[in-house]
Amino acid sequence: MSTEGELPPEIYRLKKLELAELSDEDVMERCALGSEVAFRALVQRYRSRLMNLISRFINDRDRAEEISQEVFLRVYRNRERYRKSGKFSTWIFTIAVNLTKNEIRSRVRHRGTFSIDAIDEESGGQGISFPDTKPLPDEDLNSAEIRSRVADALDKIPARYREAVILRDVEGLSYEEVGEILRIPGGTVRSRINRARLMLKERLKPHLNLEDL
Amino acid sequence: MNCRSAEPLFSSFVEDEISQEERRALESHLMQCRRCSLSLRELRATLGILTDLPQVATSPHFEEDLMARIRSGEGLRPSVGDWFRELLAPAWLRPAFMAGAGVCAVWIAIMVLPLGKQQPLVTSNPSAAADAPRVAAATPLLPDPAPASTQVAATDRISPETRGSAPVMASALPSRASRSNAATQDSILGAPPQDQRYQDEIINDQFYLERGREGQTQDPTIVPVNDTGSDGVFIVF
Repeated sequence: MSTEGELPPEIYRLKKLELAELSDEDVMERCALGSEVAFRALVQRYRSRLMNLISRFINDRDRAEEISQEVFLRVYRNRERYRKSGKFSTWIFTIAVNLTKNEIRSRVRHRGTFSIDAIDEESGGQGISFPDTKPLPDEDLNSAEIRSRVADALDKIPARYREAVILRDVEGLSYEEVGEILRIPGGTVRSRINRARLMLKERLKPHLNLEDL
Repeated sequence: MNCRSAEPLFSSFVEDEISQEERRALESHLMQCRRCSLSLRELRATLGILTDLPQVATSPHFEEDLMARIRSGEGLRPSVGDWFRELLAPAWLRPAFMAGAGVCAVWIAIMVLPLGKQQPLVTSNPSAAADAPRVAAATPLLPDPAPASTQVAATDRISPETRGSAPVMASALPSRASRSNAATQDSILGAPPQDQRYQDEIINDQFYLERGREGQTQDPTIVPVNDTGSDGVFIVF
């Protein structure tokens, strides 16, 4: 990566404060010109979101961090190919989803692991589910327990529903962005998200607090 | 509206992305159906949990590790696996790949299509020229080396009584230059002569035609291939 002295001065005239006011696309444009400051700004904006997304998919924090780094390496490697006409968030999430899918496939092939993900991937998304027979406490769950229950519930729904609902409800992307990232039409996006929510609702039902609703 | 048709609308209802007509119908159903009403409340609670999930933080040294990997050059060049994945990525994203594929397709088409094979050329030696149709007549079930339409066109006009032993004048067979016309018009008989060599043959054929018409004493060994007599194609016995 270039240093300050090697680049046109106008790139480095931008202070961090100015970068914060720019859109992702504008920051990425500066990154494509070789600005390390711009690249770091993108890393700071997206590292938590990527980590969240990937760890919800594979439920493995260490590996999720490695894949998040790999996503940023891909962004840096392909920075000159980025076209400002597309949304940066869609681009980077597409890279993340693809790398995560590769990870799931790789686990199946190389480690011989047997998981719901593997079955779902290999069965073309048809999915298979097992009843959760663990006893559950009646009291409200604290944050860590909620996360654990949701992770379990997400892990048990088919991948094609899981990825749609994570992108929409956990990451807060629009239906259009979800459709672009997963390369499926809008009607399919809505249908998958609705089904995923209903599946999750059934699994989380014992822990839901309905008093405030 | 019943429970089955109400459930798919729950998400749209919660996100206020439902038409007025559907909203009215769903609200009317929810007033009457305790089960769907409860299900909708559960769905709202589930969404609340999902959107309020605590963030999974990266490690404190995430950024520095990443920058160190970039500075070391690690990961900046695609691995073999990445290279293959990019190679096999959707082709419509890769114009160069498509251009290469197009060139390969043209090359394969040139190699596969019988354009490079030599057909028996026109000759004035009746005995030499007669070999090809004889073989064709003797082995009708074998695939013909020449396009079927031209062979059929050349032999269709041979009368049954002469087909067995008659040598055919070579001008009835297509030259390589005229084969494309034969393909497009599906018959050499309807195709006009295209090159000088073929013109010469017509002149010769016309000579035989005129000789045959003189004095109405038609040489029984010269038979015009078609009735018009203007295409210059004859069969000599």
